[in-house]
Amino acid sequence: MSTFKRIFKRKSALIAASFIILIFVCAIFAPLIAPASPTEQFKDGLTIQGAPIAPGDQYLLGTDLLGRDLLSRLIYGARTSLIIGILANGIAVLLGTSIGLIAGYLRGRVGSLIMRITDLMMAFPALLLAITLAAIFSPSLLIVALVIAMVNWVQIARVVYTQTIAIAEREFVLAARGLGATNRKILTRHIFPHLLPTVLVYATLGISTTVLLEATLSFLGIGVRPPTPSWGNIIFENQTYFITAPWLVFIPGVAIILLALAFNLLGDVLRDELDPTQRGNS
Amino acid sequence: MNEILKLTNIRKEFHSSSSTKPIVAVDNISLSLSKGKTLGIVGESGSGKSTLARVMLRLIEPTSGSIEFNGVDLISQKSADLRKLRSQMQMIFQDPMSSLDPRMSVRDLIREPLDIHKVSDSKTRNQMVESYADKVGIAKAALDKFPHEFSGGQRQRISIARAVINGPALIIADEPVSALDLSIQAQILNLLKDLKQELSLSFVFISHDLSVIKYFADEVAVMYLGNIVESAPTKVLFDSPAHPYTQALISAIPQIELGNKVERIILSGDIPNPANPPSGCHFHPRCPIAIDNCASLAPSLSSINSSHQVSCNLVQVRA
Repeated sequence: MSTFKRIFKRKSALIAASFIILIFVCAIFAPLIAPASPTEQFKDGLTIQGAPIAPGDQYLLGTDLLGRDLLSRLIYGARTSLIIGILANGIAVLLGTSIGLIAGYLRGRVGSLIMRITDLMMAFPALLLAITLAAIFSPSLLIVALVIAMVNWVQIARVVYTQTIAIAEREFVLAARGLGATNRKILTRHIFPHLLPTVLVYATLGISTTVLLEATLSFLGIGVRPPTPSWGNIIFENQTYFITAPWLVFIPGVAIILLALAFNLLGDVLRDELDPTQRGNS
Repeated sequence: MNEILKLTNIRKEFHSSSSTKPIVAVDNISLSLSKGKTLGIVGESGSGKSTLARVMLRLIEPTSGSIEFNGVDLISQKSADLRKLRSQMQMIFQDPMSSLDPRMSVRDLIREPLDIHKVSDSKTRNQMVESYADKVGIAKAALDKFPHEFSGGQRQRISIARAVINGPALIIADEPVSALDLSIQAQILNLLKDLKQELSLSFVFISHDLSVIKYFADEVAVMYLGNIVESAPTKVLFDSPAHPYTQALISAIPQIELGNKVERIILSGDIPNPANPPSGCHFHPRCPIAIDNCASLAPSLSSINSSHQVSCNLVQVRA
C-alpha cells in the first residue's frame, strides 16, 4: 500500500486534509463563495448606536466595527493568511533546515561561524528586525512573507543543527562513508530523512505563529495594508470590541487555531508514516 | 605484490577537551595481511581494536603512520579517489541495528553500494540485489521489509550482502558475531567462510572471542591497550602462546575434554584507563609473572622466530 493511501486511511489525517483543502478552495474561489465584498461597508451593517451586528440571518457571522460582512472578510482573509503562512513558513523552514544541516554536518570552524551568526540573529529583537526590514522595503505580501521568514528560520536552524550532529555520529552514517558515499548522498539519503520528523513538526507549528506574526505586523502598519483582510488583522482591528462583540475576535481566532491544528495533525501522521519503525502504529 | 593490506607504525590519538594529554587508542602498530588470508585481531574491550579497524579503512584518520592497500598508499589519496577505492574494501560492523539505516528497506540497503559506485544499469542492479540476498540467505519476499523487522542474525546477513555486493578484495569484520546468539554465530561464521572461498576475499577479523578467532583466522594478533603484544600463525599462537596475557586468555577458553584440565590463569582487575596507561609495560599491573623491571621498561615487539612476535620483557630475557 502506498504511503499516500495509508495516510488517508487515518481519520484524523482525512479530517485535517479536508479542512485544509476547504480553506484553500475558499481562498482560491473567494469571489464566488463570499456573500459580499470584503471591503464594502453596509449601510445597515451597524446598529443605530454604531455597534457591530451579531451573527444572524442577515450577516451569517455578523459584521465588524466598520459594518463589513465578517464571513466575506474571513473568506478573503484566508488568501492572505494562507499565502503568508505557507510562503513565509516555507522559506523559513527551507533556510533554517539547510543552514542547520550544513553547519551541523561540517561542524568545526565553518559550523561554529554559521551558528554564531544565527545566535546573533536570535539575540536581535525579532519585531525590531521586522519593522526595520519592512521600513526599508515598501510593504507587500511578498516582503511581509520574507520578513517573517527572516525572523523565523533561526530557531529551526538551531534545532536542525543539534539534531544533525547527533545523527551524523550514528554508525549507519559511518557505514555509508565506508561504502564510498559522497557527502551530498549522506546528507540527502541518510541524515535528512532522520531530520524530517523534526522539520515537519516545525513546519506545521510554524503556520500558526506565522499567521499571528503577520497580524502583529499588520497591526503596526507594516503588514498587509487595510482594507485587505487577513485573519490576523481582523482580530487586531476588532480587538477593542471584544467584550461587546466577542465573535469578531473569536471567529477568526478559531479559524487560525483550526488551520494550525489541521496542519499539525497532518504533519504528525506524515511523520509517523514516513518512519518505517512507526508505520501502522497509533 | 602479495600483501593486500600493510600498516606501518600506525598511531591514533584522541584529544579530549578535559585534559591536555591525548588518549592513545592505537600505539605504533605495524601489521600486514597476505591476499586470501584472514588476520584475526583479538583483545578486550577498550584495547583499541575497533579504532584500529576504522583506521585500516581510513574511516578515521591516523595521527601518524601509513596504510597501504593493495600497494596503494591510502593516506595520500584524495577524497574522490579514496571513495572509488572503497568499493574494494568493506567493513562489517558489530551491531547491524545501528549500522543499517532504519529508514531504508532491505532492497535499498543492499542496493546502496551499487548505486554509490554507479554499477551497471538499474535493472542489473536489481537482479544483483536479488542474487546476493539469496547468497546470504535473505528471502526475496523479505526485501521490501525494514531492518527492525528482522532478527539479529538476519540483519547481519543484510550487512554482509552490502559488504560483498561490489566484489571487494578486503573485508574488515569488526566483531561481526559478538551481538548474536551462539547458534546464530555459527551460521554467520559459516556464511562468511563460504563467501571468503567463493569470492576469494581477504579478511581482517576482529573479535574478543578466541574460539571464534581460532575457527576463522590464519594469523592472530593480540592487542592490549593499543599495542600488539603478540602475533603468530593461529596454530602456533594457540599451541605455544608466549605472552602472559595471551596465555591467560587461552586458559580462559572453556574446555569440554574430560580429565584434561587446564590451569586457569585468572587476571585481576580491568583493562587500565587508556587516558592514563601504566608505566613501562602496560600489562605489568595485571601480569602474573611481572618483575620489578616491568614497571619502568617498556618492551617492544620482537621476533621469537620468523613468524612469531611477542612484546614482553621476560620473553626477551629468556630468548
